Amino acid sequence: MTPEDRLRAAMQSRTSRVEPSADALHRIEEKLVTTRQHDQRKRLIVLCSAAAAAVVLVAGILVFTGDGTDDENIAVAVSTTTTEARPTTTETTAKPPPSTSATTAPPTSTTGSTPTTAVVPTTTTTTTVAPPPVDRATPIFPDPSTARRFDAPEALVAAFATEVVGMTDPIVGDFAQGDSRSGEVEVRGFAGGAPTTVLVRRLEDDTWFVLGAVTASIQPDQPAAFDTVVSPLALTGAAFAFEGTVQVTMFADGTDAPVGATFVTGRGDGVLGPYEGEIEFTTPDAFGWLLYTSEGGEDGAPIEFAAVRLRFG
Amino acid sequence: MAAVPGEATSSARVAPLLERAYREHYRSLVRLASMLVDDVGSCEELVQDAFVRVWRRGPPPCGEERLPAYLRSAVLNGARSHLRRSQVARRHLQPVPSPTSGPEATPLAGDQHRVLRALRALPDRQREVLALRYYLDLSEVEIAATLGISAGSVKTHAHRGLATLAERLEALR
Repeated sequence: MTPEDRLRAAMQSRTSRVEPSADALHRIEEKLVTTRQHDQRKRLIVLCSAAAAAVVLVAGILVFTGDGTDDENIAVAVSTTTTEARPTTTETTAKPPPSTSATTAPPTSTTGSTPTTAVVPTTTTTTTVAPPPVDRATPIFPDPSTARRFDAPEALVAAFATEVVGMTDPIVGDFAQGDSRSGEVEVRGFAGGAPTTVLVRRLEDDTWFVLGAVTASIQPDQPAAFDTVVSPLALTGAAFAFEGTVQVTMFADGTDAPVGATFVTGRGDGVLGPYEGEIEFTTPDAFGWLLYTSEGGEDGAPIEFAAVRLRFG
Repeated sequence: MAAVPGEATSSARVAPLLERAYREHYRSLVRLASMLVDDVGSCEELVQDAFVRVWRRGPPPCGEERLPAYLRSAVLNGARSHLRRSQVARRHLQPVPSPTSGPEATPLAGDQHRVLRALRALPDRQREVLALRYYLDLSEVEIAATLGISAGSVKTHAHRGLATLAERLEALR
């Protein structure tokens, strides 16, 4: 029996057992309705955002192209805010109560700006809201100990691909929902390039984090996600890349600079080939992650990547 | 919200076409997806999502004649994404036991199981070309139209896919 015959037989046998559910058409229609409603909402949000941006732009132009009266307007705005924040501050005794009277003052008067300079320091006392704690062992990006957050998974992946991985001009796909708190976003190094799938998860109420990334051309076996590792670390897996070369970089939380780097060699002819290597690194933090990149294109920037979260032993 | 003039007409035109396409293609598309993806529930989801993507903005932009190839292409793209997603999930999330309903509950004969496992281990394009060729019996031109590649590439992928498959089956003996 030839491989073709065996393939046909296996396919027939498999498909003869597959019977679609009876209510599938109904489910398609339901999904269509939901999707169209979602599209409409999205269009509305885009329109509102565009309108808001236009208003901000016009206001900005008016402020920066105006004459000396602008300074007074800005001063009034600041002093009004201050009055709300600290109504009983002693600094307010040094000046007349900030009020709309300043806006009606003649342009030549400096009384509007003088009290403002005295009050400005009090505005810096506004408290910064600390983000709720996120389990540091889980995310790769952004560092949860910083205040940086992303409320859209696509924006998160775009920032990760450019700032961390080093892609020049990544093409970021739509977010594909997994469970209620996680999903994936595909990113390509260039139009028509092979996709890298970035797994994202909502670890706080409305903000997203990168947990890892995979791509068909780089398939690490060792280390696996969340392994506890020490230096030197053995690297095994399979890959294909330009001239078979995959760059491997170790990052530790809290530092932007890599704590270790090496490369491994898979195959360069479009077929996955096994690789073996070793990476040495320092461990300034308890957590880190490995970035595998294959590079290409004229600028030599990464075009595909894989990312694995690790714990340092 | 007021109805957009012409919307009712558009929906009326979409519904019979959607229903006809469903009757003619849904089952074979689910079975095609089952060549590439393990659990049948996901296959159905993939095919339903493909229908939604094609009809999302009204009548299919490809016209009725090219609809089968368009739908097949949407299913294959969905299957590819699904496999990547599963790969990510396997690597980065706690393993969740898969339900044992559907065809998986009654395993295939040993050889057939081996063949399908070897097929699913092939690179995306080779796997898709073999599924379209040996399950749907599509011509090289039809496969090329579905995958958006040249007929020459179809031949190459089919040749390489079969060679690798034979090699792996030999090794499993």
